[in-house]
Amino acid sequence: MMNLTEKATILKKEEEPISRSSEKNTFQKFISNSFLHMSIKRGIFYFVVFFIAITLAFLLPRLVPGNVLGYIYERPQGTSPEAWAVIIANLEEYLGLNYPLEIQYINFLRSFFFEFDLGYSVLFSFEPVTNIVLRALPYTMMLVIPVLIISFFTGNWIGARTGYTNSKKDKVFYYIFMVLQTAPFFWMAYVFLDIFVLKLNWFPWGQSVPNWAWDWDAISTIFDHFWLPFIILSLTNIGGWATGAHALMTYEKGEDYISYGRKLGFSDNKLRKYAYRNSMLPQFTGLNLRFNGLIGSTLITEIIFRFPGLGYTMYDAFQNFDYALIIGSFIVTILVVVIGNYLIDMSYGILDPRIRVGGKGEA
Amino acid sequence: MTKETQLELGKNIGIKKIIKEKYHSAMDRYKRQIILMLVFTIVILIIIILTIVPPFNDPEKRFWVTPDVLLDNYARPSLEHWLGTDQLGRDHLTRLIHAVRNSLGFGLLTGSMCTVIAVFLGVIGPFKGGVIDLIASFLTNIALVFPQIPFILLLSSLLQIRAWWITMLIIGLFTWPWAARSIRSQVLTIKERNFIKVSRMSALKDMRIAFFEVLPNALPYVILAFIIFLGNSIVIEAGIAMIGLGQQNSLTLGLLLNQAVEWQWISSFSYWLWLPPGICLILIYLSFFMIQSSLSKTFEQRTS
Repeated sequence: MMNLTEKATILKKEEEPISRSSEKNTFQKFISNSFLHMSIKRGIFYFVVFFIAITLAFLLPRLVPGNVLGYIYERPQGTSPEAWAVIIANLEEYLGLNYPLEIQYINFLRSFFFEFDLGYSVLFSFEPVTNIVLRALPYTMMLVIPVLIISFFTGNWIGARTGYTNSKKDKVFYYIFMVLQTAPFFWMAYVFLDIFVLKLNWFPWGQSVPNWAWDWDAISTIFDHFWLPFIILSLTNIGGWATGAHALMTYEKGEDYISYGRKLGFSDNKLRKYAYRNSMLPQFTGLNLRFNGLIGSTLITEIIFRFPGLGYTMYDAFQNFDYALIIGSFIVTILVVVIGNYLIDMSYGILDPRIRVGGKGEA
Repeated sequence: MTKETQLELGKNIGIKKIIKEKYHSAMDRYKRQIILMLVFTIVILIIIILTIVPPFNDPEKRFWVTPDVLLDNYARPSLEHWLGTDQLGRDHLTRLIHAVRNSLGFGLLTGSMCTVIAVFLGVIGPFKGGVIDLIASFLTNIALVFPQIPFILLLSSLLQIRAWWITMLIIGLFTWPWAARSIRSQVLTIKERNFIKVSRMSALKDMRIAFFEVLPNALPYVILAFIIFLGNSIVIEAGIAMIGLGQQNSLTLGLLLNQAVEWQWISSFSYWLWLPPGICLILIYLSFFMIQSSLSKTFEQRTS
């Protein structure tokens, strides 16, 4: 009995330092984990990008000479210039435009970061910009996210398939999408608008898009307006992925393990799946650049189709020199870009085993 | 003496042989790419020649209105007017060819501006080192994730000067970063080669090594970047102009498309007016894209 208890105490004594050291090791691992390290580093980097972008978006409109309110309001006839000047001065005080530039900037930063308040839009009769922008955001996101996902998967699938099999039936699709990729989407948008809306009357024309609501009528009319921009954006984006995947697959096809597998008697479909998995990692690095391009083309498509997303709001704001709305729509667009890029980087970190496990691989 | 001449002769024969062998092996390996490249270069050359040769390139005829404007406006394509006429009875083909020429010139200028920025930032970083390298790589990294098209839209609507050089500067300022990064990585690999070490030992200046020794070796990538910039800037200009934010002075493809929107050529379905500019745009961009992709394939295969 004694022996056993002694042994137990000894074991306990021995266990304690071991467990401590192992805890330390896991903690140290957690700190030195290159995934966490990368996520913090990237986060700081993207915050810097965000800060620079909003500073530019704040400064550029204000450096252009001209009175803001002069673009929107004209002096009505019958009012004396002095009385009108007083009204304008009151408005400027209300909007906070009477301060010097640096104090305006500090005020803007403070109200944005601590109160999430972006000021009032002159164009939309002094509605808070936050409301306008948050109303516009879902429209842009419902274009960007499905287009990104669909074009990524279908483009990669088509490119990989044609790269592996070299059959002529598949190649037809590949070449069609390659030509569509080079077609200017704005021109195609107008052509589609003409053919499908004005000639064939498949989609509604001359109606405004309703606000988003959980209501069948609203959702169905929104989707009536949604299909054309969605189709054009996805058609023009699939080709880019397909060409990249095609090139990657043709390299991967010449690898040794594919010929070895073929000699072992694996079916071609199975080998294609293996090659697809192995070769598609570089496509994720291209996701960043393509995401930025997609955001830009979405904004332009929205302007063409009068789809009330961020691009259309931005266009209205630019045309009327509405400072608060310019910065508001810009901040949300930049946030979408920056957060999207951050998530893409993180997903790359999860997918790449060198970063996930914590080795010293360079990626 | 005899030995030297023999050596020289041998060298000459050897070089010729080597060139021949290299040519044949290149033709065997990259036949497809070379044929593609030649075809699309010929397409581009035909377009360029069409815009320079006299019968099409007639500056007077661009503004030339048919005698009977009311009868001849929106004329359908005929033998007299190959692509019909527009709302003022102007011959559309001559206007289209002018637009193509101006667009190509615009692309050339903007593309070279972008390449100069990209090459400068890509080469100067690794060679100067230290703070300059940090700044250059930081700039390119930030510009890579920068939302470019919103800023292009913002600047071109804020600056209410509708001149072509404003559009050129705006596009040039925001579209260079990816090329700067790829040229930088190329320069970093070339920098480690032996001949650069030798030229360093012979006390050449850093900038001289960078621009006279390293840059010629990275030239294929610079040319690739230039071709991509050329096509891209033509398309981006057309897009901005079509929305109505681009330049309004010189007739480019974008301005033609803008008129197609503003004069409702598209909704009145006068297809001879809006179809050709778009097809020209696709043709130009497609041929630059194909030249670029086949070039990059040949370069990549050589290195690996």
